[in-house]
Amino acid sequence: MRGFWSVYLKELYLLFASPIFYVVAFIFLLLNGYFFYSAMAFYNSYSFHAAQNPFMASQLNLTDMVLRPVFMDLSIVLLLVAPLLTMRTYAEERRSGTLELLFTLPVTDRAALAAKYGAVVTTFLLILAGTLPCMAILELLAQPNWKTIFSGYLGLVLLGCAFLSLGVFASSLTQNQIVAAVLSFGSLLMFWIIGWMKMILGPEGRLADTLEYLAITGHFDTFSKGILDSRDVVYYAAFILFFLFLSLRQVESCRWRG
Amino acid sequence: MPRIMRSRRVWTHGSNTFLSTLLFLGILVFVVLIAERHPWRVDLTEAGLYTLSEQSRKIAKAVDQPVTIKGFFQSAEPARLEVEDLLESYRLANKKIRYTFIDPDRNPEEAGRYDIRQYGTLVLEGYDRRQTIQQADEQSITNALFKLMREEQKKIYFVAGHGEHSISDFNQAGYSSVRSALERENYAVQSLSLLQQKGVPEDAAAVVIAGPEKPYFQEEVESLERYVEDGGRLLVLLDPGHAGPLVDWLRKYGIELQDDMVIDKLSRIFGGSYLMPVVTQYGLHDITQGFNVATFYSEARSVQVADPSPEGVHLVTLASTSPNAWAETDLERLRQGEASFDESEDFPGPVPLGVLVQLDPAKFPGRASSEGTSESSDETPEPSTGEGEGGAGAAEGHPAKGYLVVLGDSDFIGNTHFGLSGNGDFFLNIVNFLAEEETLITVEPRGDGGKKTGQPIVLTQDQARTILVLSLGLIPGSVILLGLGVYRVRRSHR
Repeated sequence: MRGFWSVYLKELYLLFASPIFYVVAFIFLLLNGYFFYSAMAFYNSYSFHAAQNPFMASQLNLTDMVLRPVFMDLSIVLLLVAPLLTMRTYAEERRSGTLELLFTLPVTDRAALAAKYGAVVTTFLLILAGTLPCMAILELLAQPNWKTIFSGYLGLVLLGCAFLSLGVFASSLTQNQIVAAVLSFGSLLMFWIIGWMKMILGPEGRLADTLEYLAITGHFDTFSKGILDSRDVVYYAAFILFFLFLSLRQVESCRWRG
Repeated sequence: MPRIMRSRRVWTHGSNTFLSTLLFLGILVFVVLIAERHPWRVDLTEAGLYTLSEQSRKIAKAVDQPVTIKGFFQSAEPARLEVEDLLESYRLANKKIRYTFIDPDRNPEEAGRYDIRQYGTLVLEGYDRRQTIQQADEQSITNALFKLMREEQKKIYFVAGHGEHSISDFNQAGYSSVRSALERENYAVQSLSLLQQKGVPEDAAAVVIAGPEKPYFQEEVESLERYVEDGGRLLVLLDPGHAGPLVDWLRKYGIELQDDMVIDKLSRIFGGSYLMPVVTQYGLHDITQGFNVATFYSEARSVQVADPSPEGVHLVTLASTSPNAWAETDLERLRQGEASFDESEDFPGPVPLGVLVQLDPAKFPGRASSEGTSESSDETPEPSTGEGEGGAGAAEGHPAKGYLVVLGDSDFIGNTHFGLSGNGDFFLNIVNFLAEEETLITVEPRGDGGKKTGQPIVLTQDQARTILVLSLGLIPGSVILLGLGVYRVRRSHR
């Protein structure tokens, strides 16, 4: 992995120097704040009613009523935000012609890809870390189950990494950042809703099962509920690896196509 | 570079890339398939919300033939997600268990095939049998699985020989629909002549007396008495006008059967006659839990309850008419078509039409009390729970509780009326309760699993404001400030 660090640091520098990162982080955290606040407000009023109703009191569940909705909402925001973080990775270099420069440097394609992907993942993790203070508030007010919080975050991280890998691939396809962003957003949305086909195709059948497996939502839901399932981890790992592999092939093709 | 060479290069590299991508995809699919076959799952919730209890897991693991669970839910019903979580746990425990969801509104023919009347019904199919459950919780599913796997077929006997409705009769008044409905629920249905056979057979899960026209002999009643007081389960459907030793015997358990006929003004609204009382309110019991469909009875008599009830007997009124109905005692005037409510003689509504008798032989002063070996504790009978007693109790040396359900009509489940509104379901609920002996497997409801779930958070005004300021103001704001700082620094460097 020769040249990984130098590319990684350069990418990080570019990301933090550009206003995109701050705008994306601002919007993401603002929405997170709103979701968290409204979930808390709902839980608060529910708790208030539950004080008079033992049945409702038994239904009170911090994981299901606050954490799961917040995680689910954040996953939707990620859908919009991830393409913005990845859109410039390769498209920018192709447009400005620095990709050829990168080919001449003593950096392998693989290291360059890993560095670029690593950089966007790092920024994403930083943005995600901005949601942690809300969890700290929860800890101060009640005793949340940190294990389910951990699984929710793990799900978000895996989901985000999957989105970013597809975004990097989309960026490697084109010279235009906007096109890259729209491409990745469109395909992510496709992966999001493809499971709905099951309703049309009917509950049984191999095609419906395959489409349901490909859909991103179902795999994230288990994490947000507080379940660690090896099959979902494998799904995300396969998703990430596949699109990174495709990006690598695509970047290589830029060499031999000339 | 000559064009040919270039295109050859592109072709070689391109096919190379294509093949390697295909190979890589193949490897991934392979890995995914292996992972799907060997799932590993940890439930991190405090209460273990997504983990089956030990009993359920054992039973799910024991399933050795394919079982399909069909859930009839509306597509957007929130309860569906919960049930899906639950069914997924069963599927994880055993691959032989599969589940699908069917929207009865989109697939009416499928719902019709399974005779679905209510959203949220689950149908389990496997072992060439079918189990239908209305309540999609772990206990019901586990019990249904257990019943599917159980080889033994429970026997329901219909007493014959006194003009009762016949289970093989396809006429309007016949009970062939009853028979096929019971057989669908995996019961074996047989008729029983108490004149030819001494006593009720040992293997009877329940005995039904379906509207006899002639009185029973004393010996027959004694057989039935022995059966019930030894923990048997009997369903008695008696039409108006029937009298004799059976009616006298039932009086012993606090059931008063008068020579009357129930007249219901309300049923006229439903399009029936005055002589077809309608029941929309049911008593509190397992049999009627969640049951909210009207049932119609053509020409019924009242089943009144003695007050106070005899010792060792607990009575639950299962079905009664609306207050608009009454039990007419002057049958002569009724025949002339001029019956009206007579306060001094007639029994005012709501008229009870169906009563459950729960008999505790240990306390009952009849025949069995002398045999009652162990003194059961002083617990009061609980009307709404039927579990944990009966067979289980008998095994520990306590005499089993006997159950007796008396309804004032037998035509309501005849071939004509079986499918009418909730009639058939009501009957099946009663038989299921009687024959099931008790809930086979009791699954402890998931508690709050300690202090962490079920904890209320009531915020003060200040706390709410702090959360608002921090989550919506401070955190996103600091990011913007940071961005501005970076922008200024970069500008000053330029």
